[in-house]
Amino acid sequence: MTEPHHDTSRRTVLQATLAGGVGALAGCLTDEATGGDDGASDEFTIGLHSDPTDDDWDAFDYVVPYFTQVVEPLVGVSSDVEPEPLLATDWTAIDDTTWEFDLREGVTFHDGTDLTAADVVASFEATFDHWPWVDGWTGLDPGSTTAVDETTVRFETTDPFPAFPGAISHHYFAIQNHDAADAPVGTGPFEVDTTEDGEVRLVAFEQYRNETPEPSALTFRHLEDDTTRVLSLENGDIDIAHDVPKDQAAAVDEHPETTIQTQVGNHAGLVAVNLYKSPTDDEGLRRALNWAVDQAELVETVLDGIGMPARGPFSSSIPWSIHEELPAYGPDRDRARELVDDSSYDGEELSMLVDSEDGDDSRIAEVLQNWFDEIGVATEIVQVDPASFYDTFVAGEANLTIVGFGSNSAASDYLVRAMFHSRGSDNYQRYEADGTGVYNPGDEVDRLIEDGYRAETGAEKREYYGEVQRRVLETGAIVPLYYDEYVLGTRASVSGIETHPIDKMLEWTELSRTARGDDGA
Amino acid sequence: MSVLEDARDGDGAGRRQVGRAIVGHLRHNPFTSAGGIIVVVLGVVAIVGPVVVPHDPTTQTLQNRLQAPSLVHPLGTDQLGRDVLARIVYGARYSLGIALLVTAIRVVIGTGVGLVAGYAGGWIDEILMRLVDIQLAFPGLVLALVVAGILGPSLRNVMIALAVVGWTTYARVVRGSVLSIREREYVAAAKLAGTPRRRLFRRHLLPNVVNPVLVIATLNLGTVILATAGLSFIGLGAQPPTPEWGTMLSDGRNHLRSAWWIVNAPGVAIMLTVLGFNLLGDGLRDALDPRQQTKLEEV
Repeated sequence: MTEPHHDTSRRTVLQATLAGGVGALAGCLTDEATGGDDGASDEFTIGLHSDPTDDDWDAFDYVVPYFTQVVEPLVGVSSDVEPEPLLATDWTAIDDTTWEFDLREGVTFHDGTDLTAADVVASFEATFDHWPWVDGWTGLDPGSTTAVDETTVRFETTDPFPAFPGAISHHYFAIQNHDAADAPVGTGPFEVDTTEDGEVRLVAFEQYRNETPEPSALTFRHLEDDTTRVLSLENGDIDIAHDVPKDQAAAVDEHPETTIQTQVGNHAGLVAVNLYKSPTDDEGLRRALNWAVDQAELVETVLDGIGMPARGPFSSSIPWSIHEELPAYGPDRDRARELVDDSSYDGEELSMLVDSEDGDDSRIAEVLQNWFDEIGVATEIVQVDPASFYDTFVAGEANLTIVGFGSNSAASDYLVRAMFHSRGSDNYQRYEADGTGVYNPGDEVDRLIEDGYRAETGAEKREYYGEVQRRVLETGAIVPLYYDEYVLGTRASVSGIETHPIDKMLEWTELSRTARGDDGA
Repeated sequence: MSVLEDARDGDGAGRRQVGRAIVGHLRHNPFTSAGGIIVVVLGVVAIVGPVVVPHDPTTQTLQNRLQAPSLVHPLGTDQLGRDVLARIVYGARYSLGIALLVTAIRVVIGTGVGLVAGYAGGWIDEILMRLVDIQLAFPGLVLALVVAGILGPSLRNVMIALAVVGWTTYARVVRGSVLSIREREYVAAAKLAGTPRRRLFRRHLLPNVVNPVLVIATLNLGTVILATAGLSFIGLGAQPPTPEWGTMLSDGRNHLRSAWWIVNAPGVAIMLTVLGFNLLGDGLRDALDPRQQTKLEEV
């Protein structure tokens, strides 16, 4: 009696499984995308390598200000990386250390309340509270920001800092309405609709400067894996993929339904050479390493031709970079070998630190290892996970470290200070411990950086910082590699993106889409 | 009488019978044969391959990067223009070498602990087995990840990490075998005859744990290769330019669509190796399993 019952049951299970399988297969094969399709929708989905809801950004209620345009700073950054009015229309240096900023009139937060000087003060204080170390970038101390009246804010810097307006164009100093119950409430063209782990949906802020953004909604989605992000773009799950890996850029460009845009950013890749650790404490050896490297071949092969061969430590897009004036070392490996022979180097292995998650840098490390080997210098590649990479670097444990630095504001002064000043963040730990550092050439360069920091005009600044760049190269404190060029992948039907040297400041307000069929896609 | 019972006191005839059982199983079971062939071929490739392959696994030719398989480069070139076949062949040395070494360390530690715990009994057994329980409470690969993460990325540290987490299986199996054997009459007789403890271990206890240990070790070799590749894939194992299969997989994953050979070659190599050891291990288990033997004899 039980046997037939069992048979029926098995058959039912089999049928159900088969039906489920067919259903699932049909679901997989359907042409209908779940988001970011090429219809005439004015909603767009953007895939980011970084998490738009990163835990580090609790000050902004876990909506990362980079890319999202929910909040705005007082000062914006122009396409030539100069400060330009944003929430502040004008600013004046009252004296060497006092600045007054006039707020734009008629600006309202997403909740309808007016922007006032008190909101600016509250936002700056909140930033100093969350990230105590950023006051060093601006020369401000907590409590040094005051509201003069409803629309005027005063800042008192500890030292003269002419580049102050550019320094506060960083997203750290974006203004929020801290009285709002649901943060972040900003003034940007998009307001937060919903957030979930790794994804934030924004809708257009209709009252934005009397100009409603073109897209009605934007969704930023965390797609960390490069291939997944690219496939999502090609499949139409997303409309825009930020940071397409260079080795997949050609495939995205050749795909009939996608295209790419590239832009040289202000990020530079270089080898930081430890000046205080044997055997790289020998200047002859450091110069030899520089003569061995072929930046053009590196960009052409490892970076798939996307990027610029570097001559200095700062991208050519930074206003005071003297890239064009810097002499190129080589490549000349015969000369490099002679320098090695003349140096005190006696065959020991140089440690070369690299971030294990950075595919480009890992490949560059292997190519460098090969070139250094050709000139008789042995290296050992040490891959370190991103969480401990910077700590290992500033601890001065490696002879060589492949790093990439760029500025996210209109004033890149903090960059030159962090990298080459003895008390800059990269060198401070070793300098405090034993008076050395990592790749800070010493007192003279420290003084040049301080003079550049105080320089009143762009020309003056360029003169001081330019000299820093020359000294850094002459002493072989770095081996320049490349100036980064980021790749943005988009559906062919998407238009209206104007690239920016700082990719985190890309604007989405003009985004539009050609309906399927209209573009021949 | 089963093969194992014959082998129990370690006499030559018993060992010969075990050998015949294994060879017989290899002959008559196609899967075991396939496993054995794969393992032998891999071994030959690892030993002889580097002499035969014309390319150096670390020599870069940037102008020849991402070349499809051809007569010059039968498995193509990678993103730095290195010959993929040469890297696979040299990688076999690393993978097999690491697997053998890690498994040997596991066997030595696990067998030692199991023998002592099983023979001594009492509080020594309690302490050792609780240690085993504690270690088994952690997922093996996660614990290996932690150990490798703390020690820093290198192949040596991966070997240490895998060795310290994998010996517990041997300890438990060996202890179980020893517990049953030590009460047997011939062991009691040997004890009463005044046989020294070292000889007792060598002649009567160890020979009886060899078979299960051999089976576990063979199956373990595949697991270790897989774990090594996994740890190298996430950057904790081999450092560039070492041609380790897991590292090759990781390096080539962005080229999955444009240069399939970079990822598929090490992927197939790992798959075949693990398959080979698993088939061989399964075959050995069947050949040496006393219950299986009893069934055969009954038939």
